[in-house]
Amino acid sequence: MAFKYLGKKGHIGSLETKNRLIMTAMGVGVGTHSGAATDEFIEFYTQRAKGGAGLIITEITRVNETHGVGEYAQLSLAKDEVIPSFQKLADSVHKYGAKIFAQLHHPGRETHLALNTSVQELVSSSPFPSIIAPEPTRALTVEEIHGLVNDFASAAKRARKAGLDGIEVHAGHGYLITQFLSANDNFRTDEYGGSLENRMRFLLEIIGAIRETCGKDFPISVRLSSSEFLDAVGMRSGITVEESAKTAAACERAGADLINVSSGTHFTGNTIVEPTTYQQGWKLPFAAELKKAVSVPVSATSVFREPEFCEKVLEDGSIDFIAMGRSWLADPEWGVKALDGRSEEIRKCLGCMYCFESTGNALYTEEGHVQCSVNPYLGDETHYDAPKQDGGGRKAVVVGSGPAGLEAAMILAERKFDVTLFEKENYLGGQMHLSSLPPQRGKMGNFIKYAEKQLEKLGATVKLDTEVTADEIKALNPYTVMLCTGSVAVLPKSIPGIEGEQVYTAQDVLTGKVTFENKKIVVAGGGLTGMETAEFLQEKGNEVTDIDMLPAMGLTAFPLVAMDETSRLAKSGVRTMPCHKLAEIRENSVLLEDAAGYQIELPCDAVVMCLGVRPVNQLKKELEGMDNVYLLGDAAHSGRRVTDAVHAAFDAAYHLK
Amino acid sequence: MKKTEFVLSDERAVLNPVSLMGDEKGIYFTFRTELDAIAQMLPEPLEPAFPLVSGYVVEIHKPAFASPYREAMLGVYARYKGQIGMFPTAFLLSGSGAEMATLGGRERFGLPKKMCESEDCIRIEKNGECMRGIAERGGVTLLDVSIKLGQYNNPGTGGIYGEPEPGKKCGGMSYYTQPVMEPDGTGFDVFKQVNLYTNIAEYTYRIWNPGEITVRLQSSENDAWGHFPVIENMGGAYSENDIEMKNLQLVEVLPAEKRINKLLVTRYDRMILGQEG
Repeated sequence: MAFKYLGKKGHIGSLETKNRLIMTAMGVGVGTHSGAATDEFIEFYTQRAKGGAGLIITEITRVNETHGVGEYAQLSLAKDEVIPSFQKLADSVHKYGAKIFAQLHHPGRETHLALNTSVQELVSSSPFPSIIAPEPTRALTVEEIHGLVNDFASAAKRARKAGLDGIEVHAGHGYLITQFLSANDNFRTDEYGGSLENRMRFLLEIIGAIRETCGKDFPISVRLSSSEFLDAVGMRSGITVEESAKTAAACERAGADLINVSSGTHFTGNTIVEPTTYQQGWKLPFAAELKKAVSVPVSATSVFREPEFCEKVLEDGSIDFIAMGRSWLADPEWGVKALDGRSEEIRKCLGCMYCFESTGNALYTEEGHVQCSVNPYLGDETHYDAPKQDGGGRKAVVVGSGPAGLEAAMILAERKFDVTLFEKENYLGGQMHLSSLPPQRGKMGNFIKYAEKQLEKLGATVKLDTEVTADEIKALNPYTVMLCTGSVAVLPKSIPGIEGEQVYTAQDVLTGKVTFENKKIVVAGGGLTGMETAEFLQEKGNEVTDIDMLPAMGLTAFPLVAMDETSRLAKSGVRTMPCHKLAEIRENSVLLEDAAGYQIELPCDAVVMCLGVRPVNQLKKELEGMDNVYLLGDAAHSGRRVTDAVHAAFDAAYHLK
Repeated sequence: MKKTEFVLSDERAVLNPVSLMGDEKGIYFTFRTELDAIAQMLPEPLEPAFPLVSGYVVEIHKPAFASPYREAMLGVYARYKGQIGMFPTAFLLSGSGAEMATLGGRERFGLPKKMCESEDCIRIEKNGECMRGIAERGGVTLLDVSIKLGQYNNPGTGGIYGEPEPGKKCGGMSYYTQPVMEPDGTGFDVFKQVNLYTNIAEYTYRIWNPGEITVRLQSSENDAWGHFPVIENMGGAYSENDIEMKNLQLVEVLPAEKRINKLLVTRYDRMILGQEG
């Protein structure tokens, strides 16, 4: 056992787990509206059980069909007919020694009437709509609260009947129970509002009812947000760490066997599912405060990515279980690889948030499901087996080592092709490498490190600093050529002055080809590359203005990622100017034109162009006539995301005949 | 010309009870900023409600309490005891009525008003379907907003204003803070308290022409208009309307401590604050 503490058996009430690794609840969108555990769910969870999770907690599972639907295709334990499907799920997970809890959930006002079509108003502790997605909302009556307590208990009873090992009550993240716990949301004047004792009454009654219904030997986990972190955005948190510690202690007294600590509410969603800039372990001090208040075990999420870090956390004793979400999405074998001491073989999560984005797309329908930028199998576990090892030593050439090139090379090597990967730079990763260079973006390089190790293990040949020509490729007589030659920055010739000596690209800046200090710099482009480059330059002591012709900064990025980046820009002091087109570059200034056509002149020493990229694909034409030549990633279509590049490369390499 | 008397009769010794900004014309705009930037400048117990800043550059042709004047304003959306209202953060005024409008606004409502050096410091330029509003003070352009009439940048922007249209009345709550000073017994004055007021502003629209806006803000040594980063230009309008401020209420008397530091820069310049000019 490579990690003594991670591999140590754990105890949650009467339950023993094979190790200290928990996979937390995540909505994955592989179900149907019936709420049954579909074959896709079973395969998804089973792979993680096989991959070393000690305890799996299912995605949000509804307890009430009238106003408790949070996602269209989520799990449900609100009715008896789903029990057989949950039995299949439990049996499948148990084959690998893992345990499984259902996470019981009611969204309260944090859902949509479109998902709860039999009601005209959403429900909450008080008649105030969500800040994020405001829809008509009413306060639950006391009678309805008692009914919901019974709903939770009935759902837990079904879970037990199905052979699940326990349940988790979701009392965090701004959902219904949080709407009672939070002084910001709960304005009731009856026994369920006012003092903390009253605000936690609903939760404690749920725990009590489950304990009474399911008996003492059925473990109960409670998910709590340690803090809403609203103070981070200047508001008063209705749930503070101090209060959460008291709530955790009360939960233990009411019968909880595990306190599973997270953080945040809907208004501070980035503290629940963190963008890449949040660092491993950032939430641990808050979880540790809750642990001090209880004697039952405590688990917590905290952007855990590296087994070595997790081992230290357990050794230090600040928590008892390592709870991870996205790490299990990126690599279902995270556990066995870690425990076998193969940390470098773990395909680590980048924190790019594409899983969240893709799941959000599946919120209202049975179409679509969670996807991962670096794990193309995710959500399609029932459709894809491991690649066939049928390459037979045939030669495969991959040109370019961005995410597409790395993925193509890995799959082809796994299939036993004789792979040679050419990269013209002296580093792997292409644009992905650049995206890992701005402040706090190191995790974006996880995939490169993983791929480098895998390619070495699989025996692929990697040639850095090698700009291969068409003739050289032809001379190798390869069976397939995967052109992943990426892209270069767009430098529009229509802009007067674009060829000036003071004009640079993001690549020039991020790779250190050019350095600035105490300069006035205009970054042209307010997409992620532009914003990250602006932050990078501002941190180096420059006075940076980031302009974009679109009405908003980060408009083309996933909103939560854009929000994180604009917030970082504001804190770093970068001036942002949306609705401004770069009209001309002058020797010591730029001329900008706004949406109404007015022009202003902005003094500057340098201009960094981040207006997008254009494909580099001339080899495609030069290799015309050759079989099995594929154009992938940015080389095929400019401005593709990591996920597009990796998935396209996976498809091409996996399905190559 | 009528000459006023030094001493008024008791009946006349009152301020005009009607706060009507009649025949107001100009550019209205809203942009998205960082919530944190709003939180930093809001005095407790006000909390930020949305990451939005609204403002205007207008000419007020028929105020009920002064000669015509011009005004530019920035305001944010704040929450107090669950109720959301506009909290104006800074005003600039110019023109012949600016002095009385500034004094009246500051003394009656606690509004953070400052005057510009000349009438032209606040101006609206027109160029076909495009307009530009500018507010300068101390030689620095603090606000420069342009609008291209047609559609909002963000289609949802009309909702922020209550979907105005000609003839429609739209009302909204506002929060104002009035710092109160008195001598401290050692020969100096100190801020003793901050009065928190609420007020209803009622707009009656004659014209509301939506448009695509671009906002540029800058700070100077005396004015911090560049405090709010412009993350998204949401939209705005050219409008002609009348505004009446009604139902002023004192809702809470707050200790000056930890609040007054957020209220002075928008009311006073560096030198009176004891900083180098």
